[in-house]
Amino acid sequence: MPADSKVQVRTRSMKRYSFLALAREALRRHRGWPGAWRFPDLKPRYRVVIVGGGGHGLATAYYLAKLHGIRDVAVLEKGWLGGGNTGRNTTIVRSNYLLDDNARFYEHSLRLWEGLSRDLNYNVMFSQRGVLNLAHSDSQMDAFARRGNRMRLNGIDAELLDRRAVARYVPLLDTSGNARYPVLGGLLQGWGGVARHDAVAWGFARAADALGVDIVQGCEVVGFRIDGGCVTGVETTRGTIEVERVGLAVAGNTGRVAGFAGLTLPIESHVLQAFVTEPVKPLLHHVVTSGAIHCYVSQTDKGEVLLGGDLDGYNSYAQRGNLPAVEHVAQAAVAMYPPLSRLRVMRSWGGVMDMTMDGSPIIGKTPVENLFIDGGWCYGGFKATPGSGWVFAHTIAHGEPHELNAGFGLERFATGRTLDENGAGPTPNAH
Amino acid sequence: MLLIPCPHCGERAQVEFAYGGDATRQRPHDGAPDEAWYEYVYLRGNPRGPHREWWLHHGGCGQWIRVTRDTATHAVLGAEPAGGPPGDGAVSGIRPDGKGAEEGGRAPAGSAAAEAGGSVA
Repeated sequence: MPADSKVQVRTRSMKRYSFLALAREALRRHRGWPGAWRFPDLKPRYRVVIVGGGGHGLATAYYLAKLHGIRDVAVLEKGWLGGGNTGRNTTIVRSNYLLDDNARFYEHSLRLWEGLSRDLNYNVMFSQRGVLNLAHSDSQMDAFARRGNRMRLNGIDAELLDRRAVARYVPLLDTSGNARYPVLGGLLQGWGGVARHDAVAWGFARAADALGVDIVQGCEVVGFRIDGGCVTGVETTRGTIEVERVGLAVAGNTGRVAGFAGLTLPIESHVLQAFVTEPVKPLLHHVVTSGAIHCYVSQTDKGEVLLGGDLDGYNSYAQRGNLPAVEHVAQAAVAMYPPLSRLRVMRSWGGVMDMTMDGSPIIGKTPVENLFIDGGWCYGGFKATPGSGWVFAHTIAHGEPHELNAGFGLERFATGRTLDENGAGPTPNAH
Repeated sequence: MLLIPCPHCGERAQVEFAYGGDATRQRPHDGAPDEAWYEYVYLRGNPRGPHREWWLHHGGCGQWIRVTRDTATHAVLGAEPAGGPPGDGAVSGIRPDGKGAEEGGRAPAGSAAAEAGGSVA
């Protein structure tokens, strides 16, 4: 797809954030800051429509404009910008995967995170404070050694810690002989970390908007116009749009929206809950996860302890879960980090996870020509925000996947080339 | 806490149950083509709204039951014992490998779906 040359897409100069700008505006009592993005009317025609105004959709639009010169783009969001899973995740960024396709893709994304604040002129608060996976048994230590070695072979940092090293790294953790969940060691990715969940959406939105992308909120897609097996139009609650190419980035609603184009997908939508406690002084300096115990924790820059666990386990679009999952996470967290027992949980929420049949994402073409899909992220889409936008923009611009997402095609289930990290098989809620 | 109306035991808390996923799929017969198996193993309707699904009452009678539950509100609309055809819920449309849905090996739609209007005591 050629870059826009004849199409006059107005870009506006983005008022750069800087110390100088801050000082200047302070003297003017901060009355000169422009809005971070516009609220444009929907045009009747665009070259590319991205369905979904979350981190992935906005990143895709940004990279389409920035790297491929395609600026006649609309991002349609049925709610408010970043209000879906981008507003509900637990902010972890890592690339500690076993399978090559996953490892290489997520590592590419992690490297994009490293330069993102400068690239977008927006502080996404990326903090590479380390992600530690705990091992509670000998066989887990063996498995972690294997995964760590695979990571190293893919150029990704990995360190296998023994119990003493874990105790030094996470003093808050109960690593004693009496622990309810004995800790034998862990696999550490030191370059992994966290980022501010909404800032990345705002950063991509502001940068994409400045390049001429229209971000239209409160605009829900209700259908597609398909002629001869090719998508030619998008029907929305604010009118019909003629389009050349369409990219879906709608997370938990992937199955539903793809259904408007007659597609049935290997996806089940599930609820994942997360919680934050009241803010306290810094006591947890890294991200610590336990796959076996289904509990992961970190501490936000505001001081809140951020907790998450396993899926509730049943299909859901409700964006909230039930108390058994809450009890499970609370019990695990208090058993592993006893000092947390006094903290009050301030907020809880849920997201809609598009769980695939192998636990890995789906990025690429669909049987409908010019309709592309970025979905099936299960509960791991946040870390992929810049990476998925980057490969999805390439896929839409070229009509073919990039080498980094070639293995994530929808057809892999029919051909038997599934990417199953856990080896859990075609059981979405087990991934 | 979901309250699931087990047809054998009455209304019980969700912690007594294990989730078994979509209950509308029909296992293909042994000689069915690969496409039918692919659909059965991988494709799901995944509706936003009433969903017929399996739950196993491992903390009670130990039986599999079919529950209808709304996936947007979590309201449990009814439950019935396992057994009999799965009823309407046929997967249709264009599949990811581009072929149309296979009709072979699927039970007739709309049969025996005697959904209870409320909880089954």
